[in-house]
Amino acid sequence: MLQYALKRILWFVPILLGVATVTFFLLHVLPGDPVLSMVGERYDAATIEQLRTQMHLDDPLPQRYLRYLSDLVRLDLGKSYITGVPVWDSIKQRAPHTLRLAAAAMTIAVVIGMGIGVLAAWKRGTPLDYLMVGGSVIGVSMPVFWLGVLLIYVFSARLGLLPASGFGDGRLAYLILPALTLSQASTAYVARITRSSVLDEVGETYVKVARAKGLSEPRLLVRHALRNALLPIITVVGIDFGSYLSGSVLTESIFAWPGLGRFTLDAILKRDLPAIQGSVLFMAAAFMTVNLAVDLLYARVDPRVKLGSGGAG
Amino acid sequence: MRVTPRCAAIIATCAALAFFASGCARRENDSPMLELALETSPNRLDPAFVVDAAEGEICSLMFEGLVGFAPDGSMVPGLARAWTVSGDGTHYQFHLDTRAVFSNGRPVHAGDVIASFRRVLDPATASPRAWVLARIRGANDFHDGKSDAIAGLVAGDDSTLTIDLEAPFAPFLSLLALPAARVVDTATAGSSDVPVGSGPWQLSEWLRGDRITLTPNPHRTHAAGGVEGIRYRIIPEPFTRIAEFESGTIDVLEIPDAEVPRFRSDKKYADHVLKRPELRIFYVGLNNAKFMDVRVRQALNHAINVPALIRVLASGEAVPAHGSVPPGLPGHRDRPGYEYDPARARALLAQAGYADGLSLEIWQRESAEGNRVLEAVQGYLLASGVHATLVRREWSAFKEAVNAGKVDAFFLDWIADYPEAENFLFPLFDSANQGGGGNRARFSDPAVDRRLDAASRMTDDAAREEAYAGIDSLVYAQAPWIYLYFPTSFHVVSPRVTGYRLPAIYLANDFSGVRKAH
Repeated sequence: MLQYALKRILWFVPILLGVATVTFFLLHVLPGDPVLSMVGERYDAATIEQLRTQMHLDDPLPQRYLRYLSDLVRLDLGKSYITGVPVWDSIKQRAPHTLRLAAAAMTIAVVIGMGIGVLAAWKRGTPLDYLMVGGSVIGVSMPVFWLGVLLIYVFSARLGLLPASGFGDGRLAYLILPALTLSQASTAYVARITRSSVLDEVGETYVKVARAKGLSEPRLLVRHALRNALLPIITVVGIDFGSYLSGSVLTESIFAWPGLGRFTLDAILKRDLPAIQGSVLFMAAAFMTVNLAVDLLYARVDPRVKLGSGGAG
Repeated sequence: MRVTPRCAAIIATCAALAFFASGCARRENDSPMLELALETSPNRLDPAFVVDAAEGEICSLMFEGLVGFAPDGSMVPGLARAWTVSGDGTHYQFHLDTRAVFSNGRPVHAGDVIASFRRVLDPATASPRAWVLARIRGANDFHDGKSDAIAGLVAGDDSTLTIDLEAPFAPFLSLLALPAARVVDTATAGSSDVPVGSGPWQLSEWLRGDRITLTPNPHRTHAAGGVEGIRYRIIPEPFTRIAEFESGTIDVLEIPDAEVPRFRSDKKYADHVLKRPELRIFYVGLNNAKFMDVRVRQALNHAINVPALIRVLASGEAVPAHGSVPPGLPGHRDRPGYEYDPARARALLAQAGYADGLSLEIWQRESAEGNRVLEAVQGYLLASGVHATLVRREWSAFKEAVNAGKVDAFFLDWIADYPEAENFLFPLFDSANQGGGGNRARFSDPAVDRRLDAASRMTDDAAREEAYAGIDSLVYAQAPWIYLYFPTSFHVVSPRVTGYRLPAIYLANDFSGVRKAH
């Protein structure tokens, strides 16, 4: 397994190089000029020229690309054109907030989603099952923006129970509404996957044997059927967690959460090239790391999964 | 995977309890600070790099200029306690307040003013705001690297400074109150993103994307205000800002247009709503290089029912723009406007050769105001036979295309940096400022250019006001834009806060009279 993991980590290098290259050239063809974001509403042409020269934006594209790569090799993501702050410093400041929100959302999705899924499977065909299945359809299709605003309206503006925005220096109360909002689609999806996977397992012979031995239904579902239904759940959770680590622009904006999503959006709107390139690379690395963790987890959960036979994945 | 169902249930219960317990914790609405909200995070808090209103507002609290603005927009002493101007308007002498001190304890001397100005003009600094100081004699040569000194800046002693201009420029004192002309401790400016200033407040904490906290400058002899500090929280969504205000965690809220009637009729807040006519204009700029026939531009003005727009979109609280100088500024005049008259619009278009109608694109950046106003404008134009397509672009792409003159028309606003008619008429309509200088409509009239130049040299206030009013009339008659309106903004202040005043201009915030009960 270690050999497999190392091999996958080595693959990170060419993939990140590809991501860096594609991002660099995509940004070049986009309309918009970072210098215009730096100068405000009133400026003269000479200032623009001076700034363009200072930031090497007038250099030939291949030369800029090579400089970018050589900086990257030295692990230098550069400084933001707009704020002057080193991009890595900004990522270091924002990433912990994003990680915290992603972890909380995923915890909610797994605990509540799997709970609902198992409950629905147990009570299959009953009104409770229909309620939960219906609820999960609503959950999957509900816009994040709408739910976020609704939660703020009810719990902050009306009841005054929870803070509406900010990260509150890490206090748990500030995490609840954004985490619930972010987790909503995953929770619903995990519930649906759990229900159908558990029901698939229920038809298997080993479950029938266990039932014949007199095991109670909840115990049977959780200890036997659920355990074997974990693979598809892990897949869903892994993909969602990877995307949450890239920052969640909507949730972060609604709740004024100072994470990577807003940082990247700001950078894109202002054409802050070093900040965009840095955050895209970070997101790609985070996504690949989560994917690797998910693959390793497969092998741990299901002894039938053999790692290392299929290239980079 | 050795997690038993019982173990999982215990973990889940504990997590739920922890969430619940923390959720019920008492809210933080007893902050001794004045809590304010900003929509976007400032990029820089360095006077040499300030380019937007939020940055300007915060920097004006942290850094002092030779002069400043009072909340009513008038000129007040800053670092200079007194000044004289020569009869020809080119020679200024400032006497500095000897009590002025940076927040690191160092006294402010005349040399610091010169060093700060040099820093902004130094090509190595690459400040986008060098134009603010460009009228000082020798400033352009220094900025272009042709000279090592700025001839027009001389320190007589630690507390006397003279400034000579290349040519008389009447609004020069206003320029000296802008962020770019605020004084920093240049000895420490290179060591941090945020230089040290001598304003009533100093930066105590800046968590980018989250909050900025200011605390009083401990070395000032006079108190900064009645609150322990000012905290600006970055909250991008208007709805979230409203929720924070209503739950008592921010103290002042700029009310979104659609919410104004609710707050004004709410008994709890009605007495705490403040109203400010903005030194700002909304307009649809027409590409004058493309629409060269004045009849077309006048027709487009006749096609829009501006009073109805104001009634529906701005709760009736805005002033139709019959010129570009807002009410409240010397030089504003009530003149007859282009009346809403679709038949006249069609007739003018027909005379100009567009009897079969006209098609154009109106560009806008992403903004709630833009969407609301332009959809109405589009409808009115259609009624006069003008097919307008709305093109939405984000700010950077919008600016690039508009500044380069690539679009037919665009929706924008202009807000005063300093309360002078010159701040509207010169950047917006002088042909030297076409494109990024502010004249995005690419308006060009040599007579207007000449009169703008002459007005800026007039030292007699009454004559200057009359001159700018005349220029505004001259430009308005040529309809370089579709003139919309001067908006009014509404702010609601927490009932626990007293003494809060809305300044006429964003650089004039003064929280010295603010008290907060807690």
